[in-house]
Amino acid sequence: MKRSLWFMLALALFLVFSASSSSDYTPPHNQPGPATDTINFRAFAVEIASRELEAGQMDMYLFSLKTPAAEKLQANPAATVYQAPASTVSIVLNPAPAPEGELNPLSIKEVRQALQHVVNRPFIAQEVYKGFALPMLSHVSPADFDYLTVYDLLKESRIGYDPQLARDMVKEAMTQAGAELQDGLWRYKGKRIDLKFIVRTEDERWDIGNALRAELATLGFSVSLVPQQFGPAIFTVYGTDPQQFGWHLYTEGWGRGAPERYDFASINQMCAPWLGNMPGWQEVGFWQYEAPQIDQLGQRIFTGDFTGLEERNQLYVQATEACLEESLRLWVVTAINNFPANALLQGVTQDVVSGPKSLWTLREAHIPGKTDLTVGNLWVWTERTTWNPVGGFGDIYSVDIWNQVHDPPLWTHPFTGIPIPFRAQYQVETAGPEGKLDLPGDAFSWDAGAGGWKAVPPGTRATSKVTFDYSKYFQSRWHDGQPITMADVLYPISQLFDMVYNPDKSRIEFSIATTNKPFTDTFRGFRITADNQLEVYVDFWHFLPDYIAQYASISGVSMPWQVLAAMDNLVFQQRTAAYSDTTAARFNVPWLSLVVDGNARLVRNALRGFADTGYLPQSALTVNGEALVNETEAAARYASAIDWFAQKKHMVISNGPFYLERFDSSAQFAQLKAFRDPDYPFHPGDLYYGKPPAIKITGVEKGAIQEGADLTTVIALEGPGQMGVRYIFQDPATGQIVKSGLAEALDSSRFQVRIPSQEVANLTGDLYHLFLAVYSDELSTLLERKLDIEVGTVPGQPTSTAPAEAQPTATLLPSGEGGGGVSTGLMIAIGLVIVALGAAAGIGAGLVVLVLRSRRKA
Amino acid sequence: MSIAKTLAIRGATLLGVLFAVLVMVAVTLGATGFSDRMLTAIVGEEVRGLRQGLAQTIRDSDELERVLQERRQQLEESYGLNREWYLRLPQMIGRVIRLDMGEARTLQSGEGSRRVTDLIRERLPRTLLLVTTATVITAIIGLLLGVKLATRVGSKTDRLVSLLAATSNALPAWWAGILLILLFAFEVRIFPSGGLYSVPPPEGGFDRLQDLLWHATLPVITLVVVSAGSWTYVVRTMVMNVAQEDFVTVARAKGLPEGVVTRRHILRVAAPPILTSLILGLASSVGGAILTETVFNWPGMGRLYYDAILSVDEAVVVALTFMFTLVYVAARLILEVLYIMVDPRVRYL
Repeated sequence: MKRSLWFMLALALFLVFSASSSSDYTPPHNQPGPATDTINFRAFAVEIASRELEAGQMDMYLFSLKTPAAEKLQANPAATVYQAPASTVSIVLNPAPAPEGELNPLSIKEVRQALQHVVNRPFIAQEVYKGFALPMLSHVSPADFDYLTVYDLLKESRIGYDPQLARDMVKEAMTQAGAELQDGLWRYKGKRIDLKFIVRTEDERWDIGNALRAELATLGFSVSLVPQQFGPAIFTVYGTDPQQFGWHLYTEGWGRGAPERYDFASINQMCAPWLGNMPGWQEVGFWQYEAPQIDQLGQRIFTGDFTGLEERNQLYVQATEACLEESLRLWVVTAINNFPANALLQGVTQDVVSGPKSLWTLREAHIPGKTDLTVGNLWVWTERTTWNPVGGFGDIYSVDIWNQVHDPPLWTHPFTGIPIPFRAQYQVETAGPEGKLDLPGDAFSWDAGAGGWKAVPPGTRATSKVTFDYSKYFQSRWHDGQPITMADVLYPISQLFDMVYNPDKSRIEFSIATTNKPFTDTFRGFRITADNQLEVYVDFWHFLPDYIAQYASISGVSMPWQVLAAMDNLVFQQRTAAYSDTTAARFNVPWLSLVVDGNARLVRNALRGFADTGYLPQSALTVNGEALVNETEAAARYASAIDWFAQKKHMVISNGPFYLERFDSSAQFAQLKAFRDPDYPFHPGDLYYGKPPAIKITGVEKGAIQEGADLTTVIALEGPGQMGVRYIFQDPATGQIVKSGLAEALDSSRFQVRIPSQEVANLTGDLYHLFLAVYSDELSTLLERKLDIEVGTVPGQPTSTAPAEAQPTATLLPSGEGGGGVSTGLMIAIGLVIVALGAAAGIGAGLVVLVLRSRRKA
Repeated sequence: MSIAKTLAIRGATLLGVLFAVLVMVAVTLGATGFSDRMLTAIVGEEVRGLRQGLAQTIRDSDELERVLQERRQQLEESYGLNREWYLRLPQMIGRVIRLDMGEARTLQSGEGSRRVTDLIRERLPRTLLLVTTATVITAIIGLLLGVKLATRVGSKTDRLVSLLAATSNALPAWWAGILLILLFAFEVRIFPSGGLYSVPPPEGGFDRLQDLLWHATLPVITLVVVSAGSWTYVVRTMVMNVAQEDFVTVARAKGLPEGVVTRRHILRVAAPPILTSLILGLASSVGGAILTETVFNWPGMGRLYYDAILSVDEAVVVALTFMFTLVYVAARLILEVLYIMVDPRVRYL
């Protein structure tokens, strides 16, 4: 059973990145821009999304299907279901001490640790999620790269389903605390101990909660299950003082946005009280959970207080160990999200976390023979939909569309999780965590007092320098045909700095100013080194230079300077609009959205004012005495943007592969058209990544435990980049790790685990587990495998086990079994209704007859 | 007492009802602490979410905490939590009584406006198209069929229609809607499954209206299917009771044509209760039909009210409650006048 589970786990990880789409991608044409000509975005409820896809109403759905619908759709050869480990589930425990005379069992660490052993993670992954989930022991998902960092720790922890062990641990801890077990229930000073379990009802957490409640009952706890939806649950758990004991346990769900190769935030978010996500939530007046050691370790990781990767990993392991010791969060599963698509759809890039939802896919996606795509999402427009790149884009649905309309300078690699150049190239120079670089004399910074760029003071120094090359922007145009220039790079920087440091502006856009100031404070200066290059000097260090580049990429280059200037005019001079929602509410002005006709007209009118008066934001566009824009160019820009509005009825002008043709909020509809500028730098195929390359274990030569001989196991791999294997040799009876480390590389694809004979001689058991975690520098996920090593097997005989990428089995991804499907369920429902109606009709008819008869008698 | 004076007193009473409803809303939202607690939780949740985003750029933990506290204060001010509920809510009530509906806090119209008036202006026509249309159709069916059946009490037709009426009344609107979507949108494919417009939506003019009407057809059918039965049976029963009165028998005995008997002697007498149901039904239709609107993804007044409650947008909740109550009050006043016109027996003393 366990072996098959391990096999299925490995297979699940592989299958997460598998789909039945073709691995051969042929770009449909060689025109600049995207693969398809038109994308229509529509809104579909998730309950009918699979039916709408099967009916041909859409080609892809960007919102995750529910598990039963995904299961059923996988059996349809006309559909493909892309999967991504995009969310996680945990149970948070309330450790607040109870008032005098009462006892909160969850305030006892040993009780919390015991609860780790009543969460049957493999069962939940298999039965509740039908195989669409990966068991989790800690905040680090098996799909994260940092799983490798804490691999040994997790294997040594022996966290697993063991109700008897849990009972023993609870009994010891509760008895020590003065509680008594009477009639199978724990009591303290004669009073029964009741636990309130807040369980979310919208998804599989309902089943998880019910399962856990049953387990808690076997431990002697009386549990009240409180089913709640989002709003009331959030209020109960996060809006009340833990010491009020409105809750003891709660089923949490977390979304995963993008792959992160080296985590610094999640360890703090899930374990360290200082970041405000532990009970007490750093709310004033609430009881606060405290863990000084975890805070200290977490903050060092967070602020980069380490000298290199090794030290960072050590801190990470220590913090995770302390977190497991506290067991304030019981991690359950990483849930696989399911994104359905037409089986004919090609060009899909499967980001290791977000799957096909990432920025890469829709630039390459197309159906051969068709020039348009229909992409569904839960919504196209919501009350939070506000298209302005300064303080808007408050919902993920508008971001999904916006990501296709603009090209960012950098983006995260879909497989490695490391930032990479997208439309800007970069070079990083850093003085390291302790050093400083001198800024050149012609470097400049924003002077909010003078309202312009000024030379940095002599002696200014910075930790790192990043040189950005914007050639790929400047060679092409904005959607309205105007050239992209250095003015478009610098204006948003000046805009941000002025908002932060100009008191008149920061008073208006207070939230933007306060949240950005700590960030802008770290920028020391800028320098234009060539027509296309900008140097950015910043106080930031990371052992991976790409993260420095990502941090220093302060200019989004997403909209032309004249549109930003017009918006600034509305927000700060005319005071007829706002960038942020709080400012809009404070001053009773619209939250500026460039897709709203009224707002776009305001921007158009501001541009007209600029054109009429010959206005030019010289101070923001003049550097070291040299003007980046002259009046003629400015006039052309204003006219072009005004013309754009006249044609499109909105003011979204950007530089991506698509431009926004129409946005209709009432119809929940948006249409993008391909931007085919001959100088646009990308063509179909340039941004295609497809499936993550798979790491495959192609063969294992398993050794055996023989006295006097080394124990060697050779693993043959196939995979991308530089691979490695971390191993753990463990005694399953005691949980003790006998040996661990990195397997020796025999060559680029063969690795050997060797246990020296001296250590073999000390082995006393009959059976040992050899865990293998295979990784690559070109992937932010791992492949895990477990081998059983027995005493006495003839050595030297290769025991080639089936490779992890073996044929997908129906047992892991059942097609229809147990699910029922819509049609069968519908038939049952119709049948029940007919029976009910028949009964009602019979009763009704009988009553009518009775009444009539009584009237005749009368 | 003159009719005018009586109507004036009735009107004042109903306005008192309006005021009482608004006070109850304020007490429900404010005095129970519901509004403050929910808004505080919403603010807390926003701040919690903000931590993760800001953690990418603010690496100094003290600085991060300071920024989050400032943001929390801004949000509390934005949500009105810097003022006590007994100052905040009565001010809102005073404003709506002056017919200034105010601004929504979180909701906005498709045109980006937060003015509650604009929200209503956007949603109300959709609700009228859906729910009010369905109410009118239901009323017409109910009147025609109910009157006919009342004159054929006990017949096979009467029994059959009674059975269907019971069935119709028992059907949940959301369930009927889902069935009709499965049948007409996915199987037969003659109607869309939901939403307001097709893709791509017509730009404007008659084509856009036509598309909207086509999208409204299935939800209207749903509402009619689940409502017509009860309406028919109610009308049938009311008319039947009157039809069995002695004066109707006398009218027939006098040799009057059946049509005259029906119109002048039956319907006229049965009119007041039928009118009451009709007028109040039309008035309540303004409030939308949340379940049907959700099933068909039809953003009407029902969904607006529901969204406002979920997001604790007090201004919208107060404004809509005021509006719905005002419509009810107006409907009642209209009924008072109609009673006098329709039923000569009704005279206020």
